[in-house]
Amino acid sequence: MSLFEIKNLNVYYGAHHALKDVNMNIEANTITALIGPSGCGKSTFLRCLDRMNDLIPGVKVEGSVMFEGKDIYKDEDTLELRHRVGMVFQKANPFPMSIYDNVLYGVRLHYKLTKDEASRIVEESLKKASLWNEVKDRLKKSALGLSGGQQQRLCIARTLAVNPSVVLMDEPTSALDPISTRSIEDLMRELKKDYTIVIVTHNMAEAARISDRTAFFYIDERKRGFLVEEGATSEVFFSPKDKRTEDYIQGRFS
Amino acid sequence: MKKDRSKLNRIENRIFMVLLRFSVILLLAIVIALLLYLVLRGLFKGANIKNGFNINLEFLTTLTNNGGKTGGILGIIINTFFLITLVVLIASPIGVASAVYLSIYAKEGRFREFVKSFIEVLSGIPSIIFGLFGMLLFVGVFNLGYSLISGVLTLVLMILPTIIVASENAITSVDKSLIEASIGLGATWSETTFKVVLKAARSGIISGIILALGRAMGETAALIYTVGSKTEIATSLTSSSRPLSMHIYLGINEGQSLDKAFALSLVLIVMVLIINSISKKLLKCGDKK
Repeated sequence: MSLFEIKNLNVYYGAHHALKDVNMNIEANTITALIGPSGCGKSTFLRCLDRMNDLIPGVKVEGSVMFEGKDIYKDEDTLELRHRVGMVFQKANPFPMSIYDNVLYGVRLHYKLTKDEASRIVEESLKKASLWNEVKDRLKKSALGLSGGQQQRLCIARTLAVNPSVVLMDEPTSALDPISTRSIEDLMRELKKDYTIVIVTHNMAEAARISDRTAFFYIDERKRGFLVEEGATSEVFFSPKDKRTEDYIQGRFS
Repeated sequence: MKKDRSKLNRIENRIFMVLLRFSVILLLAIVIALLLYLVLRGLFKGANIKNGFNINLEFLTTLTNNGGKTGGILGIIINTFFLITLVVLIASPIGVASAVYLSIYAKEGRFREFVKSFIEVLSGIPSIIFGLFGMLLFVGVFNLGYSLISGVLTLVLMILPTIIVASENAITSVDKSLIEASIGLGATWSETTFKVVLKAARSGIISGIILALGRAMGETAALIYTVGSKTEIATSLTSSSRPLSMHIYLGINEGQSLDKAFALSLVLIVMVLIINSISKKLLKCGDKK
């Protein structure tokens, strides 16, 4: 059984049919990259996996998204789902509080912590996000004083702190400089051991570098996004089955 | 032919700068003249230092006698303090709650737009009308009499729109991605509202409350028919009680000296300034944490 099994997924924003008939599985402990042109529905797809689309007024989701054998759109416990499936956003969005409180924000929602447990979780999470050494002396300082790359790693630490099994990333490096990008990519490879990662990226090289599997989304003539093909990254990049995948990837590379 | 714009640019800039500076200087001059006049007339009898002071420690720390004709203004100051404290305590939670509802929970659509335009209309209503309404409703129908509580409730109605609009603006300008981050970590909407949104919007909300508080402190028209006129310190919510603004108004009405009116105005302004600066200080301390 795959970790995620997505069947006949259709998403509508009001009258706009944004995502059409997506069928796809996502395996545990892999990095899956979602690529494709703007507006192809890859972010929409990502946001279906932890029901973040619910926040958008007028959204309608059809089909089924099975997570660990349960249909997340039938089971109403979205709080538990988002506890298990964390999300890192395109723009680093630390809360206007201390680094320490940022890391613990999610954990404190779900657990009552002693002081020792809290400090242990903060240290572990920041270490996992390779931020510990840079911030260990200023944990009580505001998170807004960190650099962009540090803020994004803090957001990753905050997501990891609640101990999810899946981490969804929506273009997490697109607003960062190459050095910060590199460190976050290294981090993802490291995290693969314990987590399942699904990442939306516009950066083909990044997708090729870090992902095990790649899903290519495209837009049809009625502006509906759909899945063209999904497979091992090396196959999708070097011997794609579909002409459109080949054109897109070559266009991006040459 | 290409226009020579460099000369135009220079002249235009110069004229523009002169106009801008002039507006700022005009504004400054008016404010300074007003304050200076108020301070001079408020502090010294007949605005002349040789005649002695209008305000001294005794004036500020003794109770009022003879319906305000003699004695100090301690009771009046305390009544003012009671009035605005109660107004802020009642109006802030209601105002912030409405703003949270309108900006986070209410679905976009006609109802929300209707409520918003309603609030705008409310903020444009002259205060004397709130006064008359308060007299009919709180003094009359609810039978609270000319009392502290009637005045408080009337002022609450009057300043609610200010608090709601300011809070709503502060809340809607909170970065949407913070809300997403909170929800994404498994928080409920109410957890997100209290722990993230209100925290991030706090300084805007508090500025709105301070603004409203300043209005409430100086308000007279809404109080004439509601708050009563007794100069003693209010002993209960239903005591008739006279705040500073009313003391100025009634003093002039009763033909007391202008010196006293100016002295009282100066006290009122200083009180507003003190409260403003204290709340700003508190706000800064809170932000540093």
